[in-house]
Amino acid sequence: MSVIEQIWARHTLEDRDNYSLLEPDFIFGHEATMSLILDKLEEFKGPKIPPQKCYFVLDHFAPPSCAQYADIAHEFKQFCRKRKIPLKVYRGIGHRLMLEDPAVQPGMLVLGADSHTCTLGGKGVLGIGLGSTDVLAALMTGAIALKKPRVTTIKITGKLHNCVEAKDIILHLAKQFGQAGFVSCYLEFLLDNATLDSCEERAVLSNMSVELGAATGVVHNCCSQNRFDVEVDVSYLQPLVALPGGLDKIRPASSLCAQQVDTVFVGSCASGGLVDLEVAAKLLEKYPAHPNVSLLIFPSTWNVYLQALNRGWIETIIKQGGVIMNPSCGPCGGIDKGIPAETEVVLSTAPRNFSSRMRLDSKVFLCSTATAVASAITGHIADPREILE
Amino acid sequence: MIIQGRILLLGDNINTDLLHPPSYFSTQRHIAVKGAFAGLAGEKIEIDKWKKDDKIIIVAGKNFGCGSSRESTIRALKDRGVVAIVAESYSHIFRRTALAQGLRPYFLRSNVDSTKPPQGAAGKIDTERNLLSWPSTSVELEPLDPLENQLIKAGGLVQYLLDRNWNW
Repeated sequence: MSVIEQIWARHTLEDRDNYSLLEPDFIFGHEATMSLILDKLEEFKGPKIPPQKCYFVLDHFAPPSCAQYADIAHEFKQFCRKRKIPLKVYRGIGHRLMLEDPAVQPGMLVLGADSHTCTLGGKGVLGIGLGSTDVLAALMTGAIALKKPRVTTIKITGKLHNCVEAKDIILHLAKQFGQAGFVSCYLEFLLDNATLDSCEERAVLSNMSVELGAATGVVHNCCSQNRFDVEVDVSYLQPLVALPGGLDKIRPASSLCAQQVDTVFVGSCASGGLVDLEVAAKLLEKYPAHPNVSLLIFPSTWNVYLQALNRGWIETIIKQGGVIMNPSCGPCGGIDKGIPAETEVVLSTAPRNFSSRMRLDSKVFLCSTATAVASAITGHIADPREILE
Repeated sequence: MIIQGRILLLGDNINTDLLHPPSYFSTQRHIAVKGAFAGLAGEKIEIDKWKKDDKIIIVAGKNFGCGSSRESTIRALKDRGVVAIVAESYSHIFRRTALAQGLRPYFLRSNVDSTKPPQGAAGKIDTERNLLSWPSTSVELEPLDPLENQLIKAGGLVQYLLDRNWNW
């Protein structure tokens, strides 16, 4: 039985035909998606589950950048206070807070009103993203009926070379299989121990499993008995970049050096971790950011920020021209600080670069942290290995 | 039952940021509906020229509704007149959310490329025979499963659970 199937079985209250009724350990929500169901929760006097099972955060409009978002954030805060539900306000990106939180343990099941709830797969949690009404149902009943999973396993072997990151593994998979390559599969990434050491790096794989069409992704170490459907030897990978509009056009970073960039965004639930701050600082130690580039770096949580501060990385980034923003989702979803101008070219470490996401008809390339920061230094898309030579 | 609407033919990997860009996000439905299909302007579909009271049947390729889980997308599509969706495959979240909102999301039994309906053609879905038709052509749809039919019949997940006193 796969890890996903084991977690599924442990949380099954009842099987009904091709569905299982599941009881989650936590239900995740943030101000944007929860705002769509607060009226129903008020009407039906919910949630009906213990408050400690609600993992609610304010991380999208953090702090709000316009009146509409301020009203939404305020309404959510008021609701949580009234219901005595703990709410983490401006503490960082919710998925990343859950990654750090010892209360969220491997083997748990988390349902979330956000498509990147799958980020938790990086620590062996089955995180399933849902729409707001499904989450309302879970908050009112303590359970959810889901179709039984179809598990697809991807074995990751070999060792990533310098400046090649977990993001490049996903971009490679997108190039090979496409954005619909794993539609509705539950992805299980089986790692050789040496491939990705940190939970943060593993979380990039699970986070972006949905960008390959999957329902979710979980990462764990391979053992010799595991069977697998796909195998990727990461020793052969190089820094990659997704062209604007999605993950259907992937190119080597080294082939795009004619492309100038205006803004480089390092952050989101797919980046901004301690490993990313380290990469940024080590590159910027050597060279400053290009004067024509706005380098915006969003540490994913205050814990990451403080650790990076203690190591001197925040100071290096600032002195070399980077802008350190408060832990939050930033401009990824087009709803917070850092939105580009109409003709600006953005290089982003976020999980998505759809054309109408950051703003209508935005031109957003997508890559790893090393590629992003190297490009912030040169002023054009750059292979980070060339910076370090 | 027969569902009628103009066919809006879309390709593969149509994401929720195209269907309803984040800049149109609002908890107020009369505001959010203005963003329905706003990201598709570059696709040369000219849906903004369709009548505001046109009913719409979306016919799409693979991985329809990929991307963000924002339920405001589906609410805006419904408010803009979408009465059913037919696709080769869907994002897991999008299809569940469509059902939760009482919107029928059918799977095609075969690849639509082989029998493509014209953009804007008058479409019909026969929910008893599970057929999508447009002038002189019909294609088979996968029937909704029993739970999905119950959700649609109830008008969505909230009413389904209310009818069962919040029990699954």
